[in-house]
Amino acid sequence: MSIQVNHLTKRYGDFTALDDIDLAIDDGELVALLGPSGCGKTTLLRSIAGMEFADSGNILLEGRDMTFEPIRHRHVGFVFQHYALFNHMSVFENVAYGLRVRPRAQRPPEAEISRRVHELLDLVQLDWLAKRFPPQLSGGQRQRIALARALAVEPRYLLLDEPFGALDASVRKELRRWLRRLHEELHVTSLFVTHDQEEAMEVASRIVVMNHGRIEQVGTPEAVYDSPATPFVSTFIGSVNVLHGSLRDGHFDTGGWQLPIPNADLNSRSQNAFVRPHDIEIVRDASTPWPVRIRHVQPMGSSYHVEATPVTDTVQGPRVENDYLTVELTRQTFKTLALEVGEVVGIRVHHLHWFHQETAPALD
Amino acid sequence: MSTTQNILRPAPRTGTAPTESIPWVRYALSALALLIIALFLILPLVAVLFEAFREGVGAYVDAITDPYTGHAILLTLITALTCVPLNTLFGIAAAWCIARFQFPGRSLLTTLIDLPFSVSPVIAGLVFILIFGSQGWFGGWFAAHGFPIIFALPGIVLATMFVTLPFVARELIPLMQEQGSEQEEASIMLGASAWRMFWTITLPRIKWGLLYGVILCNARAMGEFGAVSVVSGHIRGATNTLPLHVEILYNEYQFSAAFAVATLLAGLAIVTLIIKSIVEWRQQRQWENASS
Amino acid sequence: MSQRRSLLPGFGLSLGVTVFTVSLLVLIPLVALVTKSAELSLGELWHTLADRRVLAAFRVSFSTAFAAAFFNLFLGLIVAWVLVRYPLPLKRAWDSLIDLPFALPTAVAGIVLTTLYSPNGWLGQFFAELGIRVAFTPLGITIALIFIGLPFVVRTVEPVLQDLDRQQEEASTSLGASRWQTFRRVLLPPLVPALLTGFSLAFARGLGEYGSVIFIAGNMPMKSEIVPLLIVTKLEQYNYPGATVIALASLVVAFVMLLIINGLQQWTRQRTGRD
Repeated sequence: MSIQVNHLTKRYGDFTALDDIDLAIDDGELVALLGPSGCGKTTLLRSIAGMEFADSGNILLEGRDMTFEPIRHRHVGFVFQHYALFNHMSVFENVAYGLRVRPRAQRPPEAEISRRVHELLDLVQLDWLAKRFPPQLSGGQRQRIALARALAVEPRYLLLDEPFGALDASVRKELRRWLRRLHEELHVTSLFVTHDQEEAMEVASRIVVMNHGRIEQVGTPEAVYDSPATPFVSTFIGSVNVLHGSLRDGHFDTGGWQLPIPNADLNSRSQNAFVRPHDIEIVRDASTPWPVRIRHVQPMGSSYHVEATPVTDTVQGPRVENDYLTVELTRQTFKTLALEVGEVVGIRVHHLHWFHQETAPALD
Repeated sequence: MSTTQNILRPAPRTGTAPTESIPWVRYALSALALLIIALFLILPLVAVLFEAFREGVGAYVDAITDPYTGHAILLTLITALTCVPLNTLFGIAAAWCIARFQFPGRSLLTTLIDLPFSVSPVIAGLVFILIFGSQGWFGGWFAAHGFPIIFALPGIVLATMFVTLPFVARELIPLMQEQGSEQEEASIMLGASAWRMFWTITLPRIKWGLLYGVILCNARAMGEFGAVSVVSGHIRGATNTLPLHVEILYNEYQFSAAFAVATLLAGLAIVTLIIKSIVEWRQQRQWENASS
Repeated sequence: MSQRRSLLPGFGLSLGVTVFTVSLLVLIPLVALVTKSAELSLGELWHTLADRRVLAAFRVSFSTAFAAAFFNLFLGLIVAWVLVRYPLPLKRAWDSLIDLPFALPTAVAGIVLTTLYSPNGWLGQFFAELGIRVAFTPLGITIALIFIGLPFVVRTVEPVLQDLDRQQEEASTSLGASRWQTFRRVLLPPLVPALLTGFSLAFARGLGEYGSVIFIAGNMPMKSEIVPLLIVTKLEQYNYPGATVIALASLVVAFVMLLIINGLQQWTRQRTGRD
C-alpha cells in the first residue's frame, strides 16, 4: 500500500474539512479526488503532502507513519493550480531548484544537473524554453514546467492540486491526455484534485468522490457512474432525473405513476429514485401508462436533450425535480421519432436506481 | 496500528506548515520587531511626556500658557490653514490633469511635483532667501513696498508650501489612474456639467485618498522645522512657529518647557496617526466593497 | 495641447493651476539656485567646495546617511516581516505607529533622541557604561537617521511581502529546500527591488535631514557637522554664495546617487524576469 490514510479529521473552527477519512492508494495508481468546492479534497491532498496537519488520524507512506513529518521527508512532488513557479528564475533554474537545494553531499555535479533538467524539459516537450522566465510563458507551458520541476526530485508520489483549473478549455483537454500518457510512461503514484467530473473520468484509473469532508465512494470511473453508492454521487456525476415518491409492492410510486423496480420487496414512505437521461425511452404509441408533453428540444450535436413534463389527471401528479424530465436521445432516434414541441408521447424507464438509506448501495 | 506506532516512535504532537516559521524563529523575530518598535518609536513618545512633567504639572501649564507659546500656536495654525487648503486645490488640479489627460511634458511635471521630497528642507528655505532675501532678486522691491517676505509670515508660508507640495497630488495621482475615467466620461455623456461631475462622481471616489493626503500635508505643515527655521529669523512673538519655539526653549536650557511645548506637537502626531489608520481602514473597506 | 481629444472637461484650468504653482514654488527657486552659483568663478567654486570643513561635512553626512539606511534594511525587513507574517496582539496599533517618524515634527524627534542618548539619558547611560558616546557624535547622527528612515523601508517592503505567492514557498519546501534556503532563494529575490527603493528613499532623506539631527549631532566642525547645518551656518554669516554652492553640490550628489540606485533597481528587475 503506497499511501494509506487512517481516520483523518481536520476542523477549522466549526467547519469540518475532513471527517474521519480512510483511504488506501496502491503503487503506480492515478487517482482523482473529485468533489464540489469546500468538500475537503484539497485539504486531504495538502495533508498528504505535509502542507497542513490534521487534528487526528494518521497518514502512512509505504507503511511508515508520516503524519507529522515535514514535507521534505515525504518524497512528494506537488503541482499547484496556479503553477507557483519562481518568477525570478529562468525555466532551467526552476527545474534545477530541487537538485540545487540538496545538502552538498547529495547534490549532483553541475553537468549532471544540466543533463537531468534538459531530460525533463524534453519529457514535457519544452526544452526550447529553458532560458525564458515564467512570466513569458503561456498557462499550459507554465503548468508543464511546474510538472517537470516536481519530477526533478524523483518523487515517489505526485500530488496535483486542480492542475488544469486555471487553463482554457482547449488547453485543459490537451493537457489531460498528456498527463495520462506521462503517467503511463513514468508510473509514479499520482493523486490529483479536481471539481470537474469529466476530467476525473477521462484521466483517473480510480475516482474518490468526496462531499462535506467525507468520502462518498471510491471506484473506477465506470463503477462510480454506473453504480453510484449514494444519492450525492448519483447527482454529482453525470446528469440524472430525480423523482420523489415511495416504494410499494415492487414498484416505485410517484404521484400515481407506478414504475417497476426489480428485486425490491421493501416498502418505504418517502423515497427518491434516480434515472439517467439516456435510460429513458420515448415511444410514439400510447401503450405506456406514462404520458409526457414535449416542452423543449435542445440539440447537443451528437445527441438531443428533450425536456418533457409528465401529463396526468391526478391532483398532484408525478413529483419530478424541476417539474420536467430530461431525456437524452441519439440523433438517429430523434430523427426517426420526429418529435414536435407540445405533443404528448409515452416514455419507458429502462433503469432506475434508488437508495433505501443515505448510505445503502444501489440496487437494480 | 496507529497506537502501536505512536508508542514505538512518538511523533511530535504537531507539524509546522511550509509557510509557517519554526516557533522559536517566530518568537525571536517577533520579540526583535517589538523591541525595535519599543526602542525607536514608543520610548521617544514616553520620554517626551516624562520630560514635560519632570518639574510638575504647574511648570507644564506655565509653559503651555506662556504668551510666546500662544503666539507660536497661532502662527502655526495660520500657516497650516493657509498652506493646506492651497495645496489641496493644487493636488486635485495636478492629479486631474496628470491622471486624466495625455500631454507632452507630463512625466517631467510629475517629477517636478515630487522634487520637494528629495530636497533638504534647509535648501528649500535657502532658495526663497535667494529670491526674496535682502540681496535676492525681488527682496529689495518687496521690502521697499512695506511687504517683507523673508523673516516674516509670507516666507514661512512659501517655505511650508514648498515642502508640503507633493503630499496631496502624490496620493491622488495613482488612485485616480487606477480608477480610470469611465465613470466621469459616462457622467459627461449623460449631460452633467463639469462642476456637477466633480461633486457627484470624482470627489466621492477620491475622498478617502484626498483626506489621507490632507492629513499628512497638515502634519508636515505644522511640524516643518528646517525650511521654516531658515526663512523665519526666529523672532520671538513674531515669526516663531511651534517647532521653532521648541528649539529656542531647548537651546536656552529650559528643557521642561521645551518638552511641554513638544507634547503639543507629539499629540498632533498621534492624532494624525489615528486619523490616518481610520482612513486606511475605510479606504480598504471601500475597495473591498467595490471589488466584491 | 492634449494629444488625444478627451471628453473630460477642465484640462486647461487644471494644467494652468499646476504649471503656475510648480513654476512659482519649484522651478523658479531651482533656477535661482543654479544662477546664483553661476555668479561665482570656477576658482571661487573650487575654493568653497575643497575647503576641509566642507569636505568633512560631506563625509559625515554621507557616511551617517549610508550607515543608517543600511541598518534600516535589516530593521525594516524584520519589522515588515513580523507585521505581515506573524500573529501579534495589537498588530494594527504597532503598524500605525511605524509612521510616527513621518508624523512627528523633526524638532521634537531631535530633542527627545538627544535626551534619551545623552550620557545620563535612559539609553545613553548603558552606552556610557560601555565607554561609548552616542549623543554629539556621528553615532548619534546615525541613530537619529535610523529613526527617520525606518518607515521608508517598512512601507516599501510591506506590500511586496503581502503579495508574495505563498504557494511558491510550499513549492520550494516540497522540492526539499530548508526554510533558510526557501527564504534566501525564493522569498528574498522578489524583495530586493523594494529593499533597494526603501534604502534609497531613507538614504536621500538622511542626506537632507536637519531638524532631528542638529540637536543630537553636537555640530563640531570636522567631526559631527552635517551638510545642511553647514549651509545654515554660511547663511547666518551672510555668506550666500557659499551656502548656495554647497546646496547645489549636495543636490547634484543626491540626484546622482538616486540615479545610480534607480538604475541598479531597474537592472535587478530586468535580470529577474519581467513583470
